Amino acid sequence: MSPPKPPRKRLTYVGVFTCKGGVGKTTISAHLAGAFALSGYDVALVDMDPQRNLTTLLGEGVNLPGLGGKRSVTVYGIDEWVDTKPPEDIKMVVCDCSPAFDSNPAELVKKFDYCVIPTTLNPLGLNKNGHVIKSTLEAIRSINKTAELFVLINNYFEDETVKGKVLREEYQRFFQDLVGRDKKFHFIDPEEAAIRNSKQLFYWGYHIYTGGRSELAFTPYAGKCLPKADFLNLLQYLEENTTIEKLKEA
Amino acid sequence: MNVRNDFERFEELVCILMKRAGWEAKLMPRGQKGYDIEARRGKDTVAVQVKDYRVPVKVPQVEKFLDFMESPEAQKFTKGFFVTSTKFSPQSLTYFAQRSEAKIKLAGISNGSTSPLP
Repeated sequence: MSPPKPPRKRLTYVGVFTCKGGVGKTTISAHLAGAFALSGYDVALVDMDPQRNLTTLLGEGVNLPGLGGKRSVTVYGIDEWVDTKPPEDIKMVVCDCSPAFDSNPAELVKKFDYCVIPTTLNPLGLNKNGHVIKSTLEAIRSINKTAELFVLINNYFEDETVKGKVLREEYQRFFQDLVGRDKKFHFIDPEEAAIRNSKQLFYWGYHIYTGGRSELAFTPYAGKCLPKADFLNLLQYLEENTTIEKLKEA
Repeated sequence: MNVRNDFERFEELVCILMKRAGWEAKLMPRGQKGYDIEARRGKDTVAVQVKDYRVPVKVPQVEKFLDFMESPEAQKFTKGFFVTSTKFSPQSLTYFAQRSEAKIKLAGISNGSTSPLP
C-alpha cells in the first residue's frame, strides 16, 4: 500500500503592484520571473492587467537558458489562471497587477505572500510617488494584512552620486513613518538592489512593432547586460530577506 | 589552523600562494582600481581581484570585475582571476556563467587551499 500523497504545497505569490501606471510594473514582473527561472525556480507569470501588456509582450511565454537546461516562463491571462489547479511543478507565481486596484481579483491579492512596489527616484516624482506608494500600501492592506511589501527603485541612475544620495535620504525619511507603522513594509536601499536605467530595458518591447521574437532584455549588448545583473541581484536581496529560497529546486 | 589569520591582508596570502605556484605576483597599492594583484607567468599577465568578505560575493562585485576586464585599462591582461575568502552567491555564479568570459576564472580559498569554480 502506497502512503497517501502529501497535500500539494500552497503556491507562493509575488505581486508586482502600484496604483500608478508607467513605472515599470510589467517590465519588472517579466524580468523578475525571468531571474527566478534562471536561478532554478519553477515560476509562472499571471497577467492581471486588463490591458494585457504582458501577454502582448511575451505571447504565451519565453524560454531561458537556465542552470541545468532550458527553462521556460509561461504567461497566463487572469481568466486562464486557476489557483486551485495550477500547472504541474509550478511553485511560484509572479503577478503583473492592474494599476486600478479594484480590477485585481481580491481573492488572488489576498494570497500574495510578497509584493514588489516599483517606483522612480526623480525629484518631481518623489512627492507624488511617495503618496502613490502610501495609497498603494493602504490599498493592499485593505485586503491583505500579511504580505511582505518591498519598494523597489526602477530606472535608477547610479552615477548621480550626490543627487541620488539626497533623493534616497528624502525617500527614506518619507517612508520612515510607514516602516515604523507596518513591520512588513520595506524600502529597498538602491545601493543594495535597484533596477538601473538601461537602453535594454527602456526599449524593451520594441519587438512587438517589428514582429520579432518574444524575449527578455537579458541579452548582452556590447558585452554588458545591466538588467540581468540587476534582476539577479534583486532576487538575491529577496532570498536574503524572505524565505523564498526554500522553494528552489535542489 | 586558520592560515588567514597570519596575514594582515587576505591579498598577501593570495599573493604568496601565487608565488608558490610559480607566478611573479605583485600586490598593488590600496585603492588600485579594478584589481589587487598583478601576476605574470609565461605568456600570461593576470589581473587578480581579491575579496575578503564575511558574506558571499554578490552579483555587483562580479559584474564590476567583468566590466573592468573589458575596459581599456585592462587590455594588457590576458586573464582575470577573482578570488574570495568566503564563497560566491548562487546568483553571482548564474550571472558569471551567463556572461561566460573564457579568460576569467573564479576561485575560493579556505585554510590555504584553493578551490577553482566552474
